[in-house]
Amino acid sequence: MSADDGAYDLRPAGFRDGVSEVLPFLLTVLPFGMVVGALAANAGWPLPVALLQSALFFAGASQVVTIELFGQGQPVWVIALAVFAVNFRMVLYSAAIGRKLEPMAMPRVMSVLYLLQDISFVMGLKQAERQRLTYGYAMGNALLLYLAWIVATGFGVVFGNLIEDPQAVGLDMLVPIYFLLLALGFRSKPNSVWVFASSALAAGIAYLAFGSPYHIAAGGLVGMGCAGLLARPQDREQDRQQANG
Amino acid sequence: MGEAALLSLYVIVLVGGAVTLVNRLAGHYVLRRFEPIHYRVEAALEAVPVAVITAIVLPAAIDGGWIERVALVAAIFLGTRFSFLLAGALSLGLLVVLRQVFG
Repeated sequence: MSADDGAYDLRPAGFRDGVSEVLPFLLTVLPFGMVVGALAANAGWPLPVALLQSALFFAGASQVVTIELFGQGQPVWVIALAVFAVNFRMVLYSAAIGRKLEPMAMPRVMSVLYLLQDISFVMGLKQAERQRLTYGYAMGNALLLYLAWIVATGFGVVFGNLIEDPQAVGLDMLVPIYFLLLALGFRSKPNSVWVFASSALAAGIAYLAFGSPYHIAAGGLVGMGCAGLLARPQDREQDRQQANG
Repeated sequence: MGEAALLSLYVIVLVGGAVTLVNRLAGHYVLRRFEPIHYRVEAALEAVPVAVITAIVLPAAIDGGWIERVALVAAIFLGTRFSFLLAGALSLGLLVVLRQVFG
């Protein structure tokens, strides 16, 4: 236990650094939060539900998936599985960052993990590399993003309700475009092109043959299988170096 | 939205929130107990988001008209060259313009 693990310390070490270093990322987080809010409003979600979702999920892609699949009338278990799959990267993040959080007490570890997302994951690992990832740094970092995310969602709902013709501003295609760009963001990973192609092929066949939601499972499983089959031991090492670089 | 739909919406948001929490805790409290993980399993696990997101996006490409397909192809092109936000804004702008002109 170190000094900054004191239970009554109201200004935990590194909190200020955590906040100030994450400030530039608000430029990307705020617009995305607004997009998610606008999509929720467009799908007829009341403001409190949209805010609750942002507070509980704090994960844009899975929120958009939920809005999309609920709109299609998919059952709860399909939506739950889709959310789990889309947020699966968090499982890997949690395993990696958990190592750095080990000296902290369990409630602290859990609160850092509750607020874990892509930005805080990367910044947390970098901070651990530079000196030591403190509870204050991790929370300062994540709490600001969390609050910004909820506020941006609220604004998005308000603005989304003002849009009279969603089709004219392309709101109906925002979800597919967003997902496509999200998938492209992974292209530096080994064999990602083949994962993308095999998933698209399998999902397309399943969609035409059996309809929704089987295309999601088909694409997901075939893409995973493809990645597993093509994997080489050295890719992992290369990947680690990229993450640390 | 009707009362029954609103109730099921609340259920879905609560279930989804719980699932996300499981995602966030499972890595540290579950996955790490299975280390070291075989590299093929790790690669398959890392591929989950891309594989699932691709599958979710596909019906839009299949069901959409030519304008929607052009916008998606443009997003692939732009996404490999520009930042996420810029590529998204440009492909959405293209879609809106095409719909105005040909829609």
